[in-house]
Amino acid sequence: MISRLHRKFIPWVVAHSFEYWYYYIGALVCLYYLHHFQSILPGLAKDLGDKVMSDQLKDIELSKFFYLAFAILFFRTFSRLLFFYPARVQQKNLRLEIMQRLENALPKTYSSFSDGDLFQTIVNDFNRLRGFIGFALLQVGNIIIAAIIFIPKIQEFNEAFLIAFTPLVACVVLFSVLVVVFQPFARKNMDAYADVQNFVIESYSAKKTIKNFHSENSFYQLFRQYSGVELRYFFISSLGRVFSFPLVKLGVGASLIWAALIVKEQGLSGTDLIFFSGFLYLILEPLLFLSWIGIVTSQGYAAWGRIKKLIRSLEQNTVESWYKKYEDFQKIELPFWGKTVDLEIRPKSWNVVIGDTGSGKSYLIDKVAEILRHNKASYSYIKQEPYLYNDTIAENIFLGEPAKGEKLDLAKKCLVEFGLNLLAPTVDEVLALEVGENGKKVSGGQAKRIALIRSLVADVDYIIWDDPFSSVDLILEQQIIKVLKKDERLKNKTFILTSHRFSTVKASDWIVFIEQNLGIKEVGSKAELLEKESLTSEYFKKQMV
Amino acid sequence: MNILKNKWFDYIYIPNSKLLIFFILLALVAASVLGYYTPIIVSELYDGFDEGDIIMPIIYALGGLYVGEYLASVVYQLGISRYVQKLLQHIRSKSYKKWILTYDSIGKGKFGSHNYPMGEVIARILNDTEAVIEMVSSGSFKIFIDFAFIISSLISFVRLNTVSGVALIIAEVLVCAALIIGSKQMGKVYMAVRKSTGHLNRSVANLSAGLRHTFHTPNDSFASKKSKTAFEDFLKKQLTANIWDASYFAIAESLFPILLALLVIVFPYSNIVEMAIIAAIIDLIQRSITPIKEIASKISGIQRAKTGMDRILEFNEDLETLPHSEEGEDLKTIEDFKSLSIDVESFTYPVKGEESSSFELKNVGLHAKSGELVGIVGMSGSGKSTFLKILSTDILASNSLIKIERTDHPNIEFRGDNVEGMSMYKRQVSIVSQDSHVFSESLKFNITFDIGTEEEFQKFWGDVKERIPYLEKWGIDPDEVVKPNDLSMGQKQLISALRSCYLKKPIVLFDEISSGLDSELEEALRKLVLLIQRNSLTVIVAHRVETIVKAGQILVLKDGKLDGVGTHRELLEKNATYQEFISQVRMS
Repeated sequence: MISRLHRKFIPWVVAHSFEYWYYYIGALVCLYYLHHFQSILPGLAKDLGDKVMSDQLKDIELSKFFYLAFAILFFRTFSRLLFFYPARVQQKNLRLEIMQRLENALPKTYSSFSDGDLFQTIVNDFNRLRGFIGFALLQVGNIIIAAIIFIPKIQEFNEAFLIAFTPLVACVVLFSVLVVVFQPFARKNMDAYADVQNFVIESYSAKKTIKNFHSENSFYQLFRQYSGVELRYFFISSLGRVFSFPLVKLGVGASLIWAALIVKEQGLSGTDLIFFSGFLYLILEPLLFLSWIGIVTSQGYAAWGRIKKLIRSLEQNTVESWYKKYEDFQKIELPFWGKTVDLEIRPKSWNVVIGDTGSGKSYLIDKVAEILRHNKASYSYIKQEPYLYNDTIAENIFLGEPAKGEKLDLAKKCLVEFGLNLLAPTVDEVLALEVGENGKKVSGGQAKRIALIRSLVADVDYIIWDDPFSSVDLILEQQIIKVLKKDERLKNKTFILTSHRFSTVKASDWIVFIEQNLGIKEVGSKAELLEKESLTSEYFKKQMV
Repeated sequence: MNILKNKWFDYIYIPNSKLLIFFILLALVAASVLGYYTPIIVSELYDGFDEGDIIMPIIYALGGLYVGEYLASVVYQLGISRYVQKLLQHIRSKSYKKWILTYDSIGKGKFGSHNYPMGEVIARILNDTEAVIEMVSSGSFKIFIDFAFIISSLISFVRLNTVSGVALIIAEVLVCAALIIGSKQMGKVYMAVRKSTGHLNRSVANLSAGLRHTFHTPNDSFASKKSKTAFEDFLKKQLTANIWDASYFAIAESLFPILLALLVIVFPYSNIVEMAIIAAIIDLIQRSITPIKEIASKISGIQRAKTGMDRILEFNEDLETLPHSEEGEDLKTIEDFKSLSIDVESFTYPVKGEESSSFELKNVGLHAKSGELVGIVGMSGSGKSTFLKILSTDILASNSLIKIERTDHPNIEFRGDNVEGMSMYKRQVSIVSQDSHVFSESLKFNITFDIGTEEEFQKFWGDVKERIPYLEKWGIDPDEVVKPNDLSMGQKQLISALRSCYLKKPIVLFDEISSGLDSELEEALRKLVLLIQRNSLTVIVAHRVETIVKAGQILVLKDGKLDGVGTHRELLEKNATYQEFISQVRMS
């Protein structure tokens, strides 16, 4: 994997240009010839006028016009393509790189980024960056080369004409300023649009509640309010365009009048004015993009800032002071409520962490996963609310690995025993079932069980489950545990679970009882803690009263 | 078709906008007049050069022309922006209202036959109108005023020189036609890009959301491998589209020499002897190239907007055929509620596709009086949620009868699918469940839904605050905006229970949450239930023994059937299912 994302903005742009230098050289050559051929046109137009006056129309070579048309077509097309191509390829490479980096980074390094933030960066920010290198660079080149070619030509023809471009340039600058000034309103418009959208989403998920209380009218009024705000911003942001777009024509007109006065003063021919107006329209095209260059560049720069913020988070040092090397994991030191605790785990058996809601069970096993990761142990950790990819159940279980052999058998067996065979007539059909966006087509409990199977099928030594059976009723829970304990293929695995259910605890071999602030309150085998007087047995007795 | 056209008019005409429309039309007329004089003034200007001196009045006229054109454009665009702003508010509100009035209950016939999924509702109410906004921001509306100007210029030029004028008109019409045809082809290419973009967006959203979850399980670079396919497909489609649009716009760019060549070709027939005419036609060509260049993209913008409008229209028409409450319908909460009785003979879920549903609710009924507390218990799958949904009319069971007895008025009675009766009944019921929504609005709005007066709310708030110490401890202010994501399940339920308490419905349904409640919240909720019970019949699907110990009657459900009815004490003695339930909730 070549890393492109470690640089600062300007060095990155330079490195990008070097990476694809042959495209850019080609593109600049094309731009040069494009403007070169275009700059012949005003002279030709003037020639037409001159020939009418001197009655020499027969001398005009018709083919010349078509050659020029073809040259413009050719060079314009390729100047664009050669600029677009590297930008598009780069966009793909960068997106892939960020995806790979994310995939290999500890999730806690990017915990401050929501799923929405990640999406925004991968989709929108990289698109803005692409806009910058594909569009802004092209237009900057376009303006510079146009100036290099056009100015000497006009100068050579009549130096006084140069000054007559002032009104046009002034109007275009004013136009650009207006566009930039009103840009923030477009941003506000977008934010307000997101608010309206959120309101509709909320109304949708709350429709039952709204109907239950017959409050349709209140919500209708609220919708009008949200929508009204957005549309007001839309109107304000459109003012920029309303006043600025027609300015360009005004500038063309003013320049033309100025040039006419020069022609009058110097007693030149009317055809000279034709020549001037030809250049006026030629220059217009690159100049019109002036404002967009500013906008696209600032957006690209801001996007790069956000991308770098994410990259920096991913690159931060993740090694903690409590990370240690362990041969086996029978006793691991973990931070807990501001101090260090020694967590004892029995290998190849069922370990369960119990405690009140909020006592830190999830936190503790999260750390267990981290230490296993640090020691490069093979493990699989399923969180309380697992995520299913919008794919088939098989893909969600095997995560891209081929579904075959012993693993497939195990998966099928689990699907049946976990009560998931009810999803379709046959197990094969269950495997082929699409779970939909966010696993929407299956219930939360079913999604969780699918994720549990995912970790059983993975070839790992340690299985960590955070509250695995919360959404399963007691009978199914007993059935699942029984099957898992019996299966030969799972005998050598170490299970580490959290639970607050007595039924789960009864099925485990080793119990760790934790409490907020206190740390580990009690630890021992099931026989020690449940059958004798202990804090644990007292805890469950209290629950049963 | 005619009817649809009239409807169209209904949708794009907004009342009280005559003045706005007048200004828009005025600007269009002004642009046409200015366009008409442009070639005349330009040719007079060059005539002046020809004769060795130009007169200042012509220069002034030319200046006036440009300023006039600017003003006409500004007025026109201003009018359009304002009109679009009003129009969209009008259409969106209308659609939202129609949609919010429809019922989404599950049932027979029109009920639940095609409820719009969320994405669809957003697409119809917002995205479809977005195309019209885009028309403004991309300047698509400009094309009308630009063409008004250019067309009258061309007509005016025909009077100066018929042959070259007509030739230019024909050439430009052909070019427009060619560009439009070309853009149709491009439309397909763009469509492929749009599809691929959609695919890419979905993949990224899907995969990036899963990264945190599959990190801790061996996954063989699942996310990057999958996303790579989407990225590559997008790249391919996008590059193809780039080739098309780069050459398409290049064609437009090469129009100038081609139109000049046309001039040369028609010279032998056009009898142009004055330089002024040449100058005027070159000026005209230069002016018309930009609008012509843009015609294809603008037309496709207009088409998109029209499709969007068509879709909204269709959405609105469809909504009208679905069961809905009437606009401004004033169904009062009754004040003489005596008792409720409901009997469900049988109910099965509508079968979708090949799924077979074996669950059936059979012969379950409930009879209770105002002020009573009724508990419903059962294992998961016993049918208690289904029964509650029937009670709340989220499900309409056709083989059922719901009846409200009133002391001073005729009873309210309805069978499964009668919309009128249901509307009336629904008005009497409020429900507190996990589905009860808490909005990201102020707490006050969440409780009152803007129903009732400020004093009423203040009185209510003071009252509950006194009775429920938890609210004080929580420290939430009624004007504070609630952030639903920061709330625990229990807090959400507390808010929706407060809502039920405030709105004082005769019947309150309560779906207790099964876990994750701390003791203070649990106590607060229990106190609220007592408050609610003072005014209403309260039906609770219970998960905790404490909630129902004092219930007047408890319904025990098992496998979709009624297994027993009685008080806690009675059931504990003789009902095996109830005994099992009690031992399980104690154990968990």
